[in-house]
Amino acid sequence: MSKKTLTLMSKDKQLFNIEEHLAVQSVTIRNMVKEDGASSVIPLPRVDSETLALVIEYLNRQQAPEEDEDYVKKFVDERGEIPTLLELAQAALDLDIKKLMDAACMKVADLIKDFTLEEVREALRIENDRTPEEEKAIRDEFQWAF
Amino acid sequence: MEERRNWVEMPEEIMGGMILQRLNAIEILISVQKVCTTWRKICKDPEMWKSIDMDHYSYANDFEKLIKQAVHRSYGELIDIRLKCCVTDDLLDFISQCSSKLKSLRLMKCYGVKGNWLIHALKRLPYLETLELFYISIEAKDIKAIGQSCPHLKSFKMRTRSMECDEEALAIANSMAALRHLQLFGSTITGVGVRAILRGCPHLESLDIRKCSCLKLSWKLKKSCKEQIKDFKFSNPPKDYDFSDSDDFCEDYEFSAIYPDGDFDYYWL
Repeated sequence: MSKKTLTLMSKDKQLFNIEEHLAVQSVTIRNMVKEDGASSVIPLPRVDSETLALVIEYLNRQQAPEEDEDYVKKFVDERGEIPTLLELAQAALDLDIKKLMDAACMKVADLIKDFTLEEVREALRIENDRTPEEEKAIRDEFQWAF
Repeated sequence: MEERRNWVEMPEEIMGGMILQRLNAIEILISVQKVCTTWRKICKDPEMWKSIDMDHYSYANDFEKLIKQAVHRSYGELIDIRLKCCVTDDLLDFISQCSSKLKSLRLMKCYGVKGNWLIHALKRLPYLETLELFYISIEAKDIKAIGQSCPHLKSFKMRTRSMECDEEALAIANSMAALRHLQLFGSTITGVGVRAILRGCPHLESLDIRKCSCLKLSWKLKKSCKEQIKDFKFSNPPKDYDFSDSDDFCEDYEFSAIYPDGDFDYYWL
């Protein structure tokens, strides 16, 4: 018996096939399937192909339910780079895959909690855009608490 | 190669709600909020400060100032706070004044805290449902006053160094009728206290009286406990306390962290 397959399209227009019964772990896809049968290609405009490949790998896992918690933890642990994890978290947000999003976010929090300010900025490519006024506001807040 | 992305554009529900919220209040105040303007905005959202866990940061510089700052940022939305050690009267007063919605309070090894301060603070926290006092020196009369100040108290956990035998248990029985969960791990309760609790707290769903050195339960009393309470935990006090067999004890992770060698007795006896 052939299983029904869905096609997902990444931001960079790459196509990925996945069996429908696995794809509907994503609440977003489940709702689409319910509404119109999702016969055509499902576009994911914010997810790049590398990340979508990871998401598909995750959705295709063959874990017993009781091992699933450990699996998702290990899955994100093995992809310990912050940018990858953040892409994964955002994809999981768009696709509404809660377990994956929770695990990816928790891993990022674990990683950045020991970082210095500069390390956080470097890892996330964030520029320090605070003005002298803001610097002063932060200092003043600490004075306030006396 | 594709240009690397600047992650400050990450949706706020992920960055704030899912990642930064998981960091400790001290980390946020000392460091994270200074990363950039966007993160500072996220870190000022009262949603970020509903739960404040300072269990592991009691010795940070300016501890009290930082906690006040964290509590202030919750704008009265604080639900759950856990503190350790350097808690003063002034700090308790501040927290209780700003946080009338507080539902859960844990004080751990705050040796300086006096019973009357605590009661003064608790009177302002009418919605408190969970109170955990570990190694706080309070007397039976304070416990009674706590019960009277917090009519919605559903869960009470206490560990003290008190030698008052059953007085604490009687105070609980006489003032905390709405309790669902009670833990008096390692207390000096006896059968008298247990009987009083069964009578005074008819809604109890769990009772933990393991490792209580004075407690020997008759089969009859044990039977009553098991009949009335769904989750009843009791152990005969062994001569040599061995914590390695009490797996439930480890659910209070702070103890496994503080007493890694099971060196617990030393601290409380």
